[in-house]
Amino acid sequence: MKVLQVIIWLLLTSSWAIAQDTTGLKNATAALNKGLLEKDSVVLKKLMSDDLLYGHSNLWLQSKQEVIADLYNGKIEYKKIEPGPESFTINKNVVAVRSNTKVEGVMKGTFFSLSLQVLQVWKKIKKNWVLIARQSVKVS
Amino acid sequence: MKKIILFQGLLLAAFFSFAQSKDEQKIMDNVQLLHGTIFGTKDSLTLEKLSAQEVTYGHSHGNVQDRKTFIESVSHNKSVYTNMQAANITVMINGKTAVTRYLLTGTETNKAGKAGELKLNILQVWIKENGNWKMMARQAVMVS
Repeated sequence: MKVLQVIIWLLLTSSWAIAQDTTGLKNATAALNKGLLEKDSVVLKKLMSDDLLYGHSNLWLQSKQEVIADLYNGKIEYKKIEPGPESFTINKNVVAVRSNTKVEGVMKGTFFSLSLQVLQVWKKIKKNWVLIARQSVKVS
Repeated sequence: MKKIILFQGLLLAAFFSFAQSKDEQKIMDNVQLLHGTIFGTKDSLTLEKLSAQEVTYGHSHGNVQDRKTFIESVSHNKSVYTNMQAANITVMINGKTAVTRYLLTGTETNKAGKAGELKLNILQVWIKENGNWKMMARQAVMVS
């Protein structure tokens, strides 16, 4: 009987731990979008891996430094980032997050409005979620 | 004494760069084997070996497949691919994860016999499990 109790307890705590994990990750994906909208370089620096390449649907690739710098030099400005429901593909401390996201903004002076399928891959490093890969495609 | 420490430091650095380049070679081999399988042999056993238990496989049109549907759709794919070539392969290794990006070009001939050029930018994320690198995420984008 005790064994059963222990098993139930383990099941409950482990599923709780996983739920905790995605909560932290959901906070990180939300913080990234907010950081991009608000041009918050401090938050963005924390959330991105140093060797990240941030891939856009038009094949444009930005380094971590460029993601931040290009918010200020007129290359891109985000007006709206609205992710739909996020799906999580979990491999221990590495999680792929996908969502259909509506993105609006101004790129080199031209307004754009896109429906994107966004793939983000996050890795938990020293208790913090860090974006290690990102690529979006236009949904046709 | 200082010389010995310096020498040991150099040895250690050499060891790490050797380990790094060994991983890089393994990942490069996996990249070649993976697209050789997806667009060539379509062998599901190789795909199972190269994919993590949890994998998310995204196509250039925005549709996404899990491990089961990805492997099934490759092995049932009636298209024939010729002159498939990967260029500009970059590998970024960070501990037990790696990110690869490359340009894949070739010709696709569908089951109706219609041929078309294929030009894709591909992102893959790999994780190291029990000494083996496995793909856990993939996203292709059409190069227009």
